[in-house]
Amino acid sequence: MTEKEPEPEDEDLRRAVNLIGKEAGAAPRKRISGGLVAGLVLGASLVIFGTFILVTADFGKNERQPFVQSLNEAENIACSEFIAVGEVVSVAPSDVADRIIVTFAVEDPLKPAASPAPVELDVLDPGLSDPQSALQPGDRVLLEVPQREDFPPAVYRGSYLESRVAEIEQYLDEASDTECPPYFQEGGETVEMEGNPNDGA
Amino acid sequence: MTRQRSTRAERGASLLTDQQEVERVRAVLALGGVPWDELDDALQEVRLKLLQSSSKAHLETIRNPGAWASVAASRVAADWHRSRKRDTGLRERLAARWAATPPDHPQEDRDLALAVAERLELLTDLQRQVVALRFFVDLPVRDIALMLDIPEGTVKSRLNSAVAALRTRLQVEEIQ
Repeated sequence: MTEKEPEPEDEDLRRAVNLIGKEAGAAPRKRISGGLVAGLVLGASLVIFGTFILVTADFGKNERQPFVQSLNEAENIACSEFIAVGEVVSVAPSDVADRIIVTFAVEDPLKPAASPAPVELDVLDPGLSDPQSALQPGDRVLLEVPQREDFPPAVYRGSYLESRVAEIEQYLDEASDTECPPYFQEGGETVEMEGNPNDGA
Repeated sequence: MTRQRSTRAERGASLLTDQQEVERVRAVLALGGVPWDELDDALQEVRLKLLQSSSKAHLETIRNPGAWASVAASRVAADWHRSRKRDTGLRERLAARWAATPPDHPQEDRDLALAVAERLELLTDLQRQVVALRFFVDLPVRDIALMLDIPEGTVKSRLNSAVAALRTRLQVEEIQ
């Protein structure tokens, strides 16, 4: 995936966030006892030494490395069940917790290329993890519904909608010859993310 | 290969004491909404999380220990508010610090930073998380998605809505 060049405002934002971060990072600290620091360092040494043995012993056995797996643009499209621009007609709770039934009037179907309008989509509520992505009747959005039912759809609005559509159109052909990695396929297993900060950290 | 793992393990150990890394982790925590007077408690939690996850991690998968620590910090920050208050005085704290010791930055940058600091408080925890990882840690969207185990589209969506919210509010203030 080629990332877009940052807009000037993004550079301003980056500068501001960096300035805030640097001040916070260097802000005065609490005094921590030498014993605690020593304990932490000793603990770290023991754990990392243990990890070293564990990793060495396990070398060559672990072929599954979900942590290094990610999707490029073509794969992202290949892993999407439905991608279209349209208007949200209605949103109703599904029978399953955290899921919603979205009636969506398709204006510009991207995947599949032809789509009935309107369609009914049973999706994980994107507003649960990100209130800004919550869908309301009357919203004009680009919806990317992933194959995996336990992943929420990505929602784009406003100026981001058009730029995202252009991005997707650029990779549609390539995506038709691209296989979705197993982890992201419908029914893909949720595996333990070894070494992932998501897992315990 | 074994030697490379050993080197990474050593880097993991140094993460716990390296001053620059400590400051970066504290910054991610603060940007994520942890109050400044709780930063050291949160830092200890990040250390413990890293130790716990290191014990079961396959270190060949940790390509960038610094980014790994930052992502862990962003998660601690996002979870910090379940049992505690969010920071509601970031702007005031910055203003007080700069009043006491003016930084070597143009006034324009300081004003923008103060405005952004105020508006960060209006974002959701998850929006602040991606803002910190993208704009402070400078991780590509793809890596953020990878390390948070969420689709790239979700990262972009959160980032776009956060940036749009910050811009809109900044523009509204300029107009007013």
